[in-house]
Amino acid sequence: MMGEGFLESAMIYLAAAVIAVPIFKRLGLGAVLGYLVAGMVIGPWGLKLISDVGTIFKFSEFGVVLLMFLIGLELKPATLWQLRKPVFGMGGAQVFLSTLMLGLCASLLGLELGVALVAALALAMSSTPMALQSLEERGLAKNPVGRLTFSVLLFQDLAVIPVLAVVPLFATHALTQEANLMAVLKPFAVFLLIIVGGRYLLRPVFRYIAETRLREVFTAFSLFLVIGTGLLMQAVGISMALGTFLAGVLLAESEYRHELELNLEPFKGLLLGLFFIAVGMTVDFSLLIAEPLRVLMILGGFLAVKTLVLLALARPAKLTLADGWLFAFVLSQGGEFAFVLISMTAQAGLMDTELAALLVLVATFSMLTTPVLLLIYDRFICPHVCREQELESDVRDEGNPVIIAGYGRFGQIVGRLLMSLGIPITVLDHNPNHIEMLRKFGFKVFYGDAGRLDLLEAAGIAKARILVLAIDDQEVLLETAKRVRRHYPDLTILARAQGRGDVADLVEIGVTLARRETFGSALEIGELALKELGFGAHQAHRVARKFRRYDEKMLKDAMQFRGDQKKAIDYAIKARQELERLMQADEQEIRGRDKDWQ
Amino acid sequence: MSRVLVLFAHPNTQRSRLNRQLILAAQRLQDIKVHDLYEMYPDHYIDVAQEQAALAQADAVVFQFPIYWFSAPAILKEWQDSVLTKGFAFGADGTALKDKRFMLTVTTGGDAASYAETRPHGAPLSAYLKPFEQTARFCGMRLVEPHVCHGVGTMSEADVSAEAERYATRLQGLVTENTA
Repeated sequence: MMGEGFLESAMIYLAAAVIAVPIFKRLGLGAVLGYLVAGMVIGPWGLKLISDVGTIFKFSEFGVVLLMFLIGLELKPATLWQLRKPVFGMGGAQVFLSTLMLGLCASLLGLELGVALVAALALAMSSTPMALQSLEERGLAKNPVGRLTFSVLLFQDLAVIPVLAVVPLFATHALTQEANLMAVLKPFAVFLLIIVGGRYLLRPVFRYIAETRLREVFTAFSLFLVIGTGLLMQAVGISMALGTFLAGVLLAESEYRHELELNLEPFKGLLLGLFFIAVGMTVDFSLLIAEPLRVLMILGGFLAVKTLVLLALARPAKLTLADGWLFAFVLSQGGEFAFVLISMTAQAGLMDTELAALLVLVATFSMLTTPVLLLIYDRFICPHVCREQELESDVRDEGNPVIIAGYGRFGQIVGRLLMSLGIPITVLDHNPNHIEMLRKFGFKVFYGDAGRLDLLEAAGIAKARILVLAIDDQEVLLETAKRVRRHYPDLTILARAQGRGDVADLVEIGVTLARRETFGSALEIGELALKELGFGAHQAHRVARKFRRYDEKMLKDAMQFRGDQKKAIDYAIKARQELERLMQADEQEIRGRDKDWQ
Repeated sequence: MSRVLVLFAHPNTQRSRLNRQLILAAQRLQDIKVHDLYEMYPDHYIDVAQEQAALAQADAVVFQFPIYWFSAPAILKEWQDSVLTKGFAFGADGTALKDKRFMLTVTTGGDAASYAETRPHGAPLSAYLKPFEQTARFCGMRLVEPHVCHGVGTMSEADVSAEAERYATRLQGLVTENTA
């Protein structure tokens, strides 16, 4: 692809992505499926616009490397250490059980047990980019499903190292392999280099580069760092993805972490897209056309076994039923590793090429099915299990005068204040992890979606005097406020608002009081800034108080201009001038040298 | 008919025996506007423009408060400091309060006898009211005889009701009376 047709190829890829992805996204089919289909369309089995699939595949695999590096950057070593249990427990169980079950099925179908197990092991590994990208698209990367999925993937990446080392041992014709002390020592030396370099060398280099004030040089260095680490890792026998992941972890506490993330993020996104396009292009339809039934049955069987194993594991991992299905589907596919291991086994003469081609096809197709399975999850499974999960709410009416809906950072402050005075409150939150954590700290919190009127009724809203809406999601909050107001016109509703527009919406709905969630603390910081600038503490407080009063009045007055942008803007400009006049008059009073002041 | 503005300063009306009943009595009357200062300005930051506008509309002004440390609760001092500004209440153009009537309504825990030299409270109550009266005088207001309720600590329910009645009559007088 670096040849004369480079720009043409690039244009084809970009065009395919730009056309397919928004369409798929809009149809609710997800970006990943968009890339895959785009790849099939431009690939050898589609419009044949691109023929050199192998090169682009290798190139785009660097997207996976970047992905792993960025994940590593977000995980401090201490956090990684906390993950050790799920990684080795869940990850180990997944690889072991999937390999065993798939291997047994394959040997029942007539494969020799050894070959069956190797094939099973290859397919037991999932596709890191597919799984993580799917979760990220849903904003679940940091949820319990995300964490668990990631742990399993991490174990798979770790398991690859010994597997790749062992397979050549079975080779019928010798493959060279280095098995001495050096092979063990080298990776450690490299890690040491990264730790020491990251701590003592990286800072001066970054600073030196930052001083040039050339953004692209900074980006170039970031890429250089990742590619360099990747190659170094590969040289000592660790996969690039795992190696850069660990490098990322080691750099997670570096002060340049954020810059690295910002610089690499766009490359990661594009290269992962390219990776999915490449997967789409490699789909070999010839086998499918020749033996459609056999391929589809193997594919179906494979997916069924792997999904069932994952589902079984979701239980002990304490995932909710809905999350369990998601976890199983997201990891159901075979991945990049299958390609590597299968071709390696075939090269070693352990597997005939026809079987190898079939397995690669199954792995590829299984990647295509993931977005489809996730669609099935959204359309058919979630409406069923997600609902069932909600019904498990344990809300009880305790006759408390105050109900707080949403007990995150915001609701907790309200709740703690009331509780410190011994005022009994009923708390509702819909995040199970949240609740578990709060219960550990001795808070009594009910699980339940406050957006549902029946749950609020179960919590005793009919007799409560105050409902505090502290839900994070403003849309849910607005809907809840609307619904509650309709059924309980006299209830005092105090609501958390995000922006000015939300305050206006809430006032329109008829909540008793709405306050912007960041206004109070931002004003406090402003007040501190004034103090640092030499205002007396009391005067700074008065000025901030005055600002608050005026700003709130402005917000109220501006409500009449909602929907009329021109008038709203006119008003805002006028109001700002008025505010400046008022504030400066006060400032004069504070700082002026009026002779009457004692 | 005169309009009366009552500036009420009590930091804990919920626990007050007498003042609460007095202010409730005041609120029931026509032409009387009550500013419950602690309720309106919990952080002592007073809306000067609003207070000055209310003063401008009133014909008579009342400070109602329990005696705290031989003076008024803190917010009333803050109110005077920030609302009675030069150019509004005093100074060359400061005639907004000129010729309005001014009355103090004060309650004391101790009885009248305790306010005397050689007694625990050291001086007659009138001595402690002087700063308020001088402030009003300085702003050109005409003083009305203060309304005093002594011995709140020993009042019975019936006494409280009687006091509320007496206060209502007194305020009604301020409303109907055209000259002091």
